[in-house]
Amino acid sequence: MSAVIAAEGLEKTFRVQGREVRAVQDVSLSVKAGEAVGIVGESGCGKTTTARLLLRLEEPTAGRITYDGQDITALRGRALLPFRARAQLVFQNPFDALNPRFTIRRALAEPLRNFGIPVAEHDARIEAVMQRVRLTPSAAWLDRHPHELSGGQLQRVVLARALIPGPKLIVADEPVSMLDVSVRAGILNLLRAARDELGLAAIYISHDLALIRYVCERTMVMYLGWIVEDGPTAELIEQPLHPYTRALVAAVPVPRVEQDRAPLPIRGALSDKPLHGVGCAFRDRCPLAFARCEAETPLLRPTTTGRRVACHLGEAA
Amino acid sequence: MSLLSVRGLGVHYASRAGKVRAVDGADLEVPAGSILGLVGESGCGKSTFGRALMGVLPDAARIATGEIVFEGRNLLALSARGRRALRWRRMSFVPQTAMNALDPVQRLRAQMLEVLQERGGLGRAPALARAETLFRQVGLDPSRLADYPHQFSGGMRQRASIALALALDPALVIADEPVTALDVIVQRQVLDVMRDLQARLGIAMILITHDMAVVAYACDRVAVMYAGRIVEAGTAAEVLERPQHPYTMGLTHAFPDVHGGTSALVPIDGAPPILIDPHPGCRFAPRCPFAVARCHAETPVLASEGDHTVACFRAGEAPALRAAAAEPATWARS
Amino acid sequence: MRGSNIWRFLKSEPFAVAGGAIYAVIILLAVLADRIAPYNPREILRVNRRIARYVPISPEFWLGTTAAGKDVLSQLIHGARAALEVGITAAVAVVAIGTLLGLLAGYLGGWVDKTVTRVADIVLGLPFLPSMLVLAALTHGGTSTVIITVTALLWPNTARVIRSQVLSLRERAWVEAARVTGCSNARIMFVHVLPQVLPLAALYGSVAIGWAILAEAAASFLGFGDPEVVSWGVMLQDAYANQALSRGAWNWFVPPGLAIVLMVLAGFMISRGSEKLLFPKLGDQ
Repeated sequence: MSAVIAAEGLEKTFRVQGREVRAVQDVSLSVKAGEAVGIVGESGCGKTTTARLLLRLEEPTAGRITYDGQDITALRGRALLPFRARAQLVFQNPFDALNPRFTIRRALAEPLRNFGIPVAEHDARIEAVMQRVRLTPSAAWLDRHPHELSGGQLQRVVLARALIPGPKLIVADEPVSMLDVSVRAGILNLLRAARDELGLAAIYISHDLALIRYVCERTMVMYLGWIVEDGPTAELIEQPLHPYTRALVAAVPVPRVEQDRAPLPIRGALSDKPLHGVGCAFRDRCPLAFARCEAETPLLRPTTTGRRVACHLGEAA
Repeated sequence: MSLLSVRGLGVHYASRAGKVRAVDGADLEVPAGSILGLVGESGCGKSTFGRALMGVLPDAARIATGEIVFEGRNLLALSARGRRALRWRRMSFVPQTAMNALDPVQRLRAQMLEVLQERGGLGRAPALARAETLFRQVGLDPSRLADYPHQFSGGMRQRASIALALALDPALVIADEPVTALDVIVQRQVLDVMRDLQARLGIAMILITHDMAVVAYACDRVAVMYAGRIVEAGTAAEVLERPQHPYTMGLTHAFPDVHGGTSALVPIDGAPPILIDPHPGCRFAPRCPFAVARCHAETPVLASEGDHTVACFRAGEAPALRAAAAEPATWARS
Repeated sequence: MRGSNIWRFLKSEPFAVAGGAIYAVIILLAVLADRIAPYNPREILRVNRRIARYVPISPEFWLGTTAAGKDVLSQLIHGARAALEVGITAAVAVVAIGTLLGLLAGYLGGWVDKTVTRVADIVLGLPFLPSMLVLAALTHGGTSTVIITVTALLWPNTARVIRSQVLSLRERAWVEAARVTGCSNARIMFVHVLPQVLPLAALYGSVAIGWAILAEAAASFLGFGDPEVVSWGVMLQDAYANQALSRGAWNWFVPPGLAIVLMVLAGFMISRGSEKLLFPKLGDQ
């Protein structure tokens, strides 16, 4: 099955106060229909920027993005409209993701209007999507404004708005991190059901590895703009190949009293002056760093078991 | 005897819509030298509770009922001066965002010295020495005392606020969501600092959080709060592995485990009640899959079975309820 | 806005209410001028076959007469029309142009922003009155000149403020959501963002009315206005030219001056009092 969305050699550099910030460096990935891929990492790792690049909300400094085999990297403005209809975003903050002056109905009709769906079909599609996110009876919700809804209800509307144009790709950026715990499962279950029933490709961005495990079959770990490892989620967590992944997994607390409290296999802290130029970005914190890590940037290489890892220690790490 | 004993605490806010009972009859025991996790979702009153203990409530709030017995004295019977004397000396506070504790225009050294000299009455030389010790205790390089808060990363700032809270050797530190805004590796490091302080210095802590995994990692005791009341309390092992309150049961199934084995996350439908003129009966009853008629009419009181206290009429049936609570279908509502 | 909210607001914001009342009176005067004014403002009146010059306050002439024998009160009432005409037209123009340019500059950024900001900076550097007088002198004065001049000189203030607000709104998630759901830039600017900045624009509009009236009064007073139009500024100019001050005919020049002051004040009072109404805090019930 071919990829719904794929990226090759994506790079994004920002200029902030005279300094260059390399937010994304050499990211290549692909996602197929029905697949859920997680991108996980700590702040500044580039996961959100990667998602925005894929959705063409930012211009890449280098690299290619293809959707359904078509190169969309150079497209701008109106030319992107067919792509937009097929690739939607679920936002992190439900309280900010909807125009406060629009009613729910209007917010849902907006994508339909923009993507040229005939007005006669609008009501039916709105009704269908409200059913899907379980905000029924829809009449009770459609004429309300965002400030009248709770976080969980708002996030359902955000999901509905993303699903209404019939996309093939959904990107969810921390979709539940701002919701109360008791509400999270509801949203995640809706996302999963939508994926299963509609065969969507999904990309989940999160800092919460436990959540990613619950939701994604495949995961990519990012550190300071680089992909350091990727592969099937359970395997990646139970047998991490990259030292950073190992530290990340060890750091996640589990909801059980009996758990590993050993010191983390990592040195120092994320500095605000990331290392540029040649060499592994993780070398100043890695307990296993050696001479080659300083001299040569490790490439993301496939392993024999279908994973990829960017480390000079390779599979032996 | 407990270091801290709270009974029937009630904190009310005046609002345009009416009187909000943010904390409404909360009971809690904190033994000396223990780390207690106060866990609950947003709006349950846990932050207000922590601030009431410290005596740093906003102007619109007042403590309406109850007693807070700390080191044998009822704090609510003290004068404002008496409470201020306790603050920072015997009991201190780490707010959710470190920048709420740290002055952005003063170097850390100056801020530490301010507390040590003015509050603690130390001379300059001993104060400086103590400041360096404190930084070392939280894993910060003492040379960083010369820096301003904005030169620190988020995790370092949080550690600096902990150092500040420890300045006068308090018996109890109340930390309000201390690791929520931090990356997971930094979070782990800060939690380790807290556990280390408990082990070496015997400091008791109340860790206010919404994250059960954080509680499981760092706390030896747990208190679960819902709608202004403590609904369950006990050792971490007991409450997390053998919860007796349906809300706790739901919560423990709402956190995925990074090492797998989470069959299905449980959504608890509905929302917490608005705390103005609450209706009689158990606050959780409208959302509880195990509620019976009595739950809507009478309010359950915290009853204890040894060290494990719970406010639920059906606590005796806990094992059977626990099994049912593990199934998402139990929680699905029509 | 619900009825109970409006009532509560009115009770709590005496400034806005007072300002609104003043405007209401002036509007009433302007609309009903022909009915209310006792005389034709341009008519030279006679008493006992002699021209009624400098008549003091009296039962037939409530505010007395001018040096030419015209009724001051009638002129005052008709002057409200000119004031509103100039004030409102100029305010609408300032708001329209300022908001449009602020919106474009804030949202599109790049060279659009740079150009608009540069031009705004230059205009803001110009002194108001002298520039107005220069323009009036070059174009032979008149009401339309005043309106055009005021607009040309006042739009940057509005544009700057609108631009700031747009800059911050641009970062909000729902604006990004509009992009993701296929909105064109134009649609985002005019359908999504503009409604959010309109309250602020209206605020500046009410201040602009005051400035416009002051400008018209100043221009007329200095002789650059349109002498055919009955306006408060022309009244003042007339009074000055006829040395009403040294004659002690305060009934002639105080009323128009007071009217101008009141109208400008009303504009500021409304804008001050409306802040809470137009910018309710999120979640404020």
